[in-house]
Amino acid sequence: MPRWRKISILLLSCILLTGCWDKVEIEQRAFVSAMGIDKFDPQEEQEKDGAEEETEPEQISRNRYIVTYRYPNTSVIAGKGEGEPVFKATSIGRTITDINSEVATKLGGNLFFGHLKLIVIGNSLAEDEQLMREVFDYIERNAMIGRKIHYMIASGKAKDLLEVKLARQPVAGLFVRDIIEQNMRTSQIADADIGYILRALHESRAAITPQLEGSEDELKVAGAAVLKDYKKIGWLGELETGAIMFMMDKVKNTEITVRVNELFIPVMIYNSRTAVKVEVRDGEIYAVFDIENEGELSQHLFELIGDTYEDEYLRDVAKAVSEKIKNQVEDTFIRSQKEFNADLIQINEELRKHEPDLWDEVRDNWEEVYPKVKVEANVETDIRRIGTTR
Amino acid sequence: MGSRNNDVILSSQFAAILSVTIIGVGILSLPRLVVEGAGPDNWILLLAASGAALFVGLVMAFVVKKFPGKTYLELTQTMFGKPIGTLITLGFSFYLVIFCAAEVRIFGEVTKQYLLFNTPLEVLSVTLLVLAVYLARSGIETIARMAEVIFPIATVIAILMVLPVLPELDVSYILPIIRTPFMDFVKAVPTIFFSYLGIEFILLYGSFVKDTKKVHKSVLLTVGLVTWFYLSVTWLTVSRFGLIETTHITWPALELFKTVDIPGAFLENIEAFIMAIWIFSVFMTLAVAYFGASLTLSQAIKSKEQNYLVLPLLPIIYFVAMIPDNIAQVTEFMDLYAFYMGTLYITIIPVALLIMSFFKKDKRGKKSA
Repeated sequence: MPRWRKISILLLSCILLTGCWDKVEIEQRAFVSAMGIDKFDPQEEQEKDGAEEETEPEQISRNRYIVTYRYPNTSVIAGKGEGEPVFKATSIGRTITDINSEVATKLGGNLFFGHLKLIVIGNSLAEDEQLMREVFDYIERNAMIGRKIHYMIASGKAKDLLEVKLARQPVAGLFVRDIIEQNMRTSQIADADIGYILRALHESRAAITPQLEGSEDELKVAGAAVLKDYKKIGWLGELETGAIMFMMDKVKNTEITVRVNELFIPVMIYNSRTAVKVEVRDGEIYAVFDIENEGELSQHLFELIGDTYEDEYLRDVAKAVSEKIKNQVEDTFIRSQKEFNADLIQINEELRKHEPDLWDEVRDNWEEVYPKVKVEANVETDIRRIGTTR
Repeated sequence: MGSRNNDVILSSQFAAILSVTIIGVGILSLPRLVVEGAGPDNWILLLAASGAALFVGLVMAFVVKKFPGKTYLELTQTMFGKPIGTLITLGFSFYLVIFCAAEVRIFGEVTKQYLLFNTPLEVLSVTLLVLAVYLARSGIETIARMAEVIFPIATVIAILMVLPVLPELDVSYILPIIRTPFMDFVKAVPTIFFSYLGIEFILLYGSFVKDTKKVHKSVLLTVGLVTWFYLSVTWLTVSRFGLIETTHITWPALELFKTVDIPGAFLENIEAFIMAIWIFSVFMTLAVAYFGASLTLSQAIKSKEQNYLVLPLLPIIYFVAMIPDNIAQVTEFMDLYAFYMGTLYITIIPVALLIMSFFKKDKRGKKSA
């Protein structure tokens, strides 16, 4: 082999075998599982540590966010290391990117968002339109943040919720995922991931997000926040959230209790379909929800034989269930009009699709038209099973 | 022409080459362009554009069938005379160099954005280019075999990846039907038509096809497959993001896979897999265009061999690829380039060739082998 060839092989191996720019040792990578974003409130901060150090005036205008990260201790998960199963890091800064790099420097590693499960927004930030829009854009623009993650609004501060020490699951993000997946059964949790929220905000500038509450050692997803013009304008209770889920056809399992002949009868709905239609009758726009449910009667009264074996009785129960859902849906829809004027179900998109002529007329003043939309819910429920006694 | 007996392909291989060439970097931004152009009528727009592509494709197939075995240079020279023919062929080579550069640059941008954040753009581009050099030097038969291997693999994986998205397919987004103003629609057709960039290779590689009689079948197959692929990507994207958000995202087709959670959730972030397939397809597009650039150059300078011209083109492609400052400039430049150069080589020259071919007597040019 001629000498030049040997040399060139050596030189080439220098270039080709030196590895890769993007190599990251796994210990150096913080797999952020949950992220909490709060608004920085200068006054509050000053009160807290006012005595210890003087906050410079420049500092006050600079900081706008408080971001809290929660990431698992990978060596504990692998069963090799010891210590806290979950790490936390908090920092303040002007933009989220700012804080990311500051925290990354502090940790001596880098933050990886590919496995992010949860973003919690503090209540005060949720009410600030400018900051909310910045956060939404950050999420939408970031190539690593997926669209299946949960985006929730905290009842208080996001930071406090992420600092809750959970009794059961060590990784907060995963815990929330579990809770969401299990509670789909009750439908009173808003099934709303960031993909839906972004899309809904693009389409009607209104959306709902689940609400996250916390106590000493527990986190709870309950009810929903209403977003309008990119900021939070109010809360929905659990029943109303359930009604919204019915309207959006996102109900998988839920339980409805009705009162028939002085008896409380719980009915498990295990199958539900909703078709949304927009109709025009006598110059009025109607939003029509056709809901079909299938359910199972799961409790009646001991030693009261026969009733549940009669078709007519079951029909009565089913009717009561339908009536209840109908009322909830209609009331919630009217509340979304009167109180929030927020098109949570994207009726405007239905209008654009099915009544394009009418949509062309109302698109520019949809804000004024939406509260006048009439609602109609047609609910049909069939009770298919009654359990093992008659 | 090549002396290594490396210049015969079947019409089925021809179709495979064309398909992998047409599906390239454009697929990622296609849903955005279509929705911007025609909103809910995006599928009609796609069909109209594919109709236009089919038309020019068939025109080219007709020319190829009428003059079997004639190279691009021979074709243009017999039709327009020697100097003009040489000029057109040289221009085609130049056009393909820029085509390669654009492909390389967008490949680099996307890879940097989604996969390798710290690796310099230059390294990403050169790596892909060097690999393409290897394939482009090996000649048309090797390229054809490569296309035959990659096409089914990519198709199968793409279909598998799409399955989890299917349940959420919302066909109602095509409503209301045909409400786009006619003029807007017509204006949008050329933009989408250029998603079929690559179809001009029919004229260039037609001379290699053994069973020339079947060339029009290859064209039909290619346009059909590509259109089906484009339609499904657009529909999936639109039903996931809605019409408005689709127009906000730079590469909606890639973003689509960020919304996918495979049931069981042992796999996350499957857009990395989609990226892998997409890189295959970009690589093929690049290799085919690269080979075309060296081939037309060798024809124009009357060289017998094509492969020694491949390497010298690398720095040119590389530097052209590095000229734009950012992604916005790349897109702007691509639009202009596709509009002027693309129109010339995809529509004007084939149609001119067709018209001229009616005046020329069919003299059956001798096969060059």
